[in-house]
Amino acid sequence: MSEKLPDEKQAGGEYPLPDELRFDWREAEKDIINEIKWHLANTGAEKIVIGLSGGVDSSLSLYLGVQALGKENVVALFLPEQGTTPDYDIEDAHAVAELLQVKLVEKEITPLINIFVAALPEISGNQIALANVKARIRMILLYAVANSLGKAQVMGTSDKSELLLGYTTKYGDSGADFLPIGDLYKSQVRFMSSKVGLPKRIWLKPPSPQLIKGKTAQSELGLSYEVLDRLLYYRVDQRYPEERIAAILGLPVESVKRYSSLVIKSDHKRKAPPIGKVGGATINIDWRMPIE
Amino acid sequence: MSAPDRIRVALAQIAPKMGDVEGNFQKIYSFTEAAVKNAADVIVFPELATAGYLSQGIFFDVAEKSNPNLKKLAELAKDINVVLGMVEEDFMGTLYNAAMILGNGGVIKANWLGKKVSSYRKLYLPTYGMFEESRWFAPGSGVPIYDLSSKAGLFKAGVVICEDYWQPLSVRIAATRGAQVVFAIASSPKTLQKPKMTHSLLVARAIENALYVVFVNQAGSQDMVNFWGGSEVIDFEGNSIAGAPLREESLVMADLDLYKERKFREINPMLKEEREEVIKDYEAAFKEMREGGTM
Repeated sequence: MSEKLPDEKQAGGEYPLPDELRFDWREAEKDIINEIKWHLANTGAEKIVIGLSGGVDSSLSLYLGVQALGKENVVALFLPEQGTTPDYDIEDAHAVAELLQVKLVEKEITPLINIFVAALPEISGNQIALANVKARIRMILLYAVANSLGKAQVMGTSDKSELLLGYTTKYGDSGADFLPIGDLYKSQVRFMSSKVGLPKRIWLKPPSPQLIKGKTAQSELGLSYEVLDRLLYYRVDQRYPEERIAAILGLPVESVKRYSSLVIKSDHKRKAPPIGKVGGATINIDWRMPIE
Repeated sequence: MSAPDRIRVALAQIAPKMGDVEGNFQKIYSFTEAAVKNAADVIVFPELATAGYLSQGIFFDVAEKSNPNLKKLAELAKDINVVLGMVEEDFMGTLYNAAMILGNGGVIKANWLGKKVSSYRKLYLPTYGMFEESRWFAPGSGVPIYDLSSKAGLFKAGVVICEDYWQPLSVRIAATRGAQVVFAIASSPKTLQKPKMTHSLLVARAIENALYVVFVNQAGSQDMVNFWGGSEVIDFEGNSIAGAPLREESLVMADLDLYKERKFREINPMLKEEREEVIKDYEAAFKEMREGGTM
């Protein structure tokens, strides 16, 4: 894969954002920074812990966290897996941490994965089960560090495309205290990353959760984010019917319906588990409270 | 008492904390004291300044916890009028997204249909998208008019709350009852488009009614939703004559020239131009829409 990667390690240029998704990135940047600042102030937290993968979502999230709270209040954990995490991600995670002058704590998760596989050998033959275990191991480590720091929160890095498609591990990468870039599509994350000066390779390389060796988001999802983001924009933001979206994007209606259905089916990943109702003050049904 | 030529208004763009009624009142006291020092005739706080906007179930506690503080605030409001966005609870236990004006050491009563009323209750309760106000609050029924004292005499004012100014009628009713100034208080959640849209609406409300619109919005962020601030005063020609920054807490003073407004109305009789036949036709059109004629 690495031979296909752009080799630009410098910033510069602009990610080509489809017209529908253009937005005032400067204003969005200020909005997100403000939300992070107030979220911590309102909850009494002082620091954030973030999992840095070398990918575009976590790199931009780290950048925004540092802008909001200062580098001294941000702890970045890089949690690679031997044989699965590509060398370029290792290089990029270090490069971003260095660029933002954040201390990077690196912990290899392979021994932890091996413990799980030894305890439950049946997961080794199941790609999905094993991939989810890896994402959840990372979540456990992030929370362990946050707890040990005290007054710290785990900042998640999922974007709107992943959240809508359910392309996340429940209680894994989506397991976090707050998701600052969760209202930006992947293409918008890449665009903003290009504008705030993150290295080109971070926002040009093909997105991948790096849970299964060699798999990219596109190979797993079946379409590129450039197309998926436009599809999601028309379906979710504009509420267009699938037939009209298919005509706009030049896709088969069945394909649009498949992704539209993924959005509905993955709703459980975006919500707290439903509670069986017995009384008149059921949590989240009758008893509704703000988080902060 | 003669009508004042000028009044000074303080825009109190605060960031209330959800669930912290006491802390919110402490902030309201300190902003009020600062406005008194700046010789303001009125200080205007945002919608639900006592509660925060996204408080959900916390709203039930806010009214009761506010009562002792309202007495203290009334004492502070001897030399200033305080426009306060708050949760009001009536004797039936019904909650309202309301505004009260404190002044002369007590609650200023407003006139509405020959009655005296103690508050303005939000007319339009948004219940779509992220908004669920009808879940928590009951709507008000009309737009009362206040006679407020300033250092130079009495002036007339109305209050509207957020969604109210997205509809043209509430400000128009206040203007028709004689309002020279309308306090448009808000807890407006930020989207990338919202500040521009809101500014355009407020300009329209000010021009079409030939009056000052004093817009005061919450600042800060609640549950990762920004309240964008951007409080401002729009004059009768649609000019923004004073403004607060986006997102941050701020106290801004503005002088309103009510004499100039009066002279402007002589030349631009927007309210005199209104016609009963048109109002009746609007009412008929509205009924047709509700009965399915045009929907």
